[in-house]
Amino acid sequence: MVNWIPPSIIFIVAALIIPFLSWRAQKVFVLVVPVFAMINLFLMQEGSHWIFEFLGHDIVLAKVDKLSFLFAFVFIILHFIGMLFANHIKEHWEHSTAFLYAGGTLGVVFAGDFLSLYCAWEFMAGASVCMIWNSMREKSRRAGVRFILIHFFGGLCLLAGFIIHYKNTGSLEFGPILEGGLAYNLILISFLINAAAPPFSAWLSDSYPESTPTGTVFLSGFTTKSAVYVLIRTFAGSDTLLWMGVAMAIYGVIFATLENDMRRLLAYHVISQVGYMVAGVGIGTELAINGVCAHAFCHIIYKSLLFMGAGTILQQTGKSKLSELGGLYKYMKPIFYLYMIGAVSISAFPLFNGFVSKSLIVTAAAERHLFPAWILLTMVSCGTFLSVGLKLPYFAFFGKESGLRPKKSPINMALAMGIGSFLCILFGVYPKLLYDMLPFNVDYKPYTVSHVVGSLQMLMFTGLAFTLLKKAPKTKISLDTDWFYRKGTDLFLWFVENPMFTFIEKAKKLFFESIPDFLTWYSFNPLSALYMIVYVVAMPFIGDEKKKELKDQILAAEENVLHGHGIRIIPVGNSLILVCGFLIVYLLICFIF
Amino acid sequence: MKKNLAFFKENKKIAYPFIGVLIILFILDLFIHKHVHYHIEGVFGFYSLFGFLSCSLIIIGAKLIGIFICKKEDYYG
Repeated sequence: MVNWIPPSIIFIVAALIIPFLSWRAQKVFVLVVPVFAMINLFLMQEGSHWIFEFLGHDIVLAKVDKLSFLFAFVFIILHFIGMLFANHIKEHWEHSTAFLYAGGTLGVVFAGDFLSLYCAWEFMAGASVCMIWNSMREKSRRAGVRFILIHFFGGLCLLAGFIIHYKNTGSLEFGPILEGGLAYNLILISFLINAAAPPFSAWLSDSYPESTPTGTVFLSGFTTKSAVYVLIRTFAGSDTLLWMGVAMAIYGVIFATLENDMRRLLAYHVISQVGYMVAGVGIGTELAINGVCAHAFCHIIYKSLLFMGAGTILQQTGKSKLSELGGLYKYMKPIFYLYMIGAVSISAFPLFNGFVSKSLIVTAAAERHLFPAWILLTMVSCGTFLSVGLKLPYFAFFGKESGLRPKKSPINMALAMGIGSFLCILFGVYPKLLYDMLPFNVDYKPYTVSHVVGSLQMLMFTGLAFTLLKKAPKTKISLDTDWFYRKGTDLFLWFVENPMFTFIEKAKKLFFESIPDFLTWYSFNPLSALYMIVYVVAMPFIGDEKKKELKDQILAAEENVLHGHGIRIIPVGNSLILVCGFLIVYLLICFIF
Repeated sequence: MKKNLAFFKENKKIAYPFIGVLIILFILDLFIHKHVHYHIEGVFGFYSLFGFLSCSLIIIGAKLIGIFICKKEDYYG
């Protein structure tokens, strides 16, 4: 007897109930549902449950093991924190879409077969674009359209991939796929698109910052981390992923350094941190997979905390660009300190959760003797501290005086950030809590003297380099791979409107006006018309004295053509010859082909 | 750079402890026993130098890439 329900169903049903609630009831309801889902999660037993038969295949709605439990656990925590952060919002649809989004993501986490995975995958994409459109601006509408186009492309790759996989193996079960082949590549592309791997990475930094201040908190956690989850399930140990992850980590850090918009800066760091996880999946050892899970877990918490900090600043000042912010420390002290807890967590300072999770992946790279990967990933952690821990807080809270006087933020926002910060410190100080939840046994001690001192040295000297080299952010945007489709569409539209349209106009004129006109004219008196054509062609080759005579003949022929005179000139025999000629051509064609 | 150095002189309350911490951390390398995966990690002052250099490299590298990809805000209209 199963006395629990798949968490995705809880969230989707809740999303449908929310529009019928009063504001007060909604405020309580949105917080109670995640708590209920959490209790439900602890009741779930390992194994495959909620199995339905569909066209002779088992559809598994709840495949529960340590891995899915861990991801579901942190997704529900994120949802609770996000709901508390957004609790002051009255609009029903904002909460409803967030619940649908969480429902889709949890559907992905517990999917035991490719069909239910695909359905949940597309459901998640649909709900997440609504989160972006929630901010009701023209810019976000456009970014949302670009977002959903990329995600539908990814979804179709997944659909095609799993159909081919099914044809090859006859099984719909969601699990590791044999390397090589079309199915493998299509599914890998689809998962990597959701993980924001280049060249399909720009959707993240393009669209997430266009969501509402509260919506970005959910977005920062669900889509990319569910992609990491499915990568662990299917592609652990793939070399492509290792180097793709390292490239993502570096790419995110470099682009974040150039960024002026604080939420876009944080979005680039989502890509960078997911790069660590993708690299970890590529390494594929037990330590690495543990590291990926731990890092995804910690990342979801500190990243939501960072986005909450940025969201609070945006909500209270209406500004998101670092060049327009500054001197906010005096007015937003608690927000600054809470943000900084997130910032030092992502930078892997000792006693914060990033320290105990990131080092698992970096150590796994070192143990597999992947020196280039190890040194690049270590380098990226300096870049993380540079942008998130130094640049953003310095130019937003200190730096030049911007003259902004933000009001006090709603208490629920600070409270949500407080819970996030508490979790960052809790798992940082007491990593055993986290390590016990990981899929494999952990034999790793993060707090050794050399590790702590080494990290501190690296981070503090990063701080020194920043203080020496810092420059005020410029009011510019940096181009990303979205340039190809944003400018590409402009080019395509220009092509359609100019060369193609002119060509079509010309062709229309030729086939529907000129040729029919000519044929009509010709059919009045074909022979005279033929004479006339011959005269006109012969004109340049004759002497001047004969030209006048010829001109008269042309005029006469034209007269004949126009009035249909001289038709009787053509004897019946001529027509017969013409008919015979056509028949011969027809026969020749028949013989040749 | 000059502006940033002036910041240090103006804000001595922050600058002195910061530099103090840097020196202590740098010298600590002499007294701790290091567990290393690669020999290079064991070199005196490796992580300090690595932090400083990689941060500078990222800033300078980003600036170089920025020459090509940074555009005005209304670039996309």
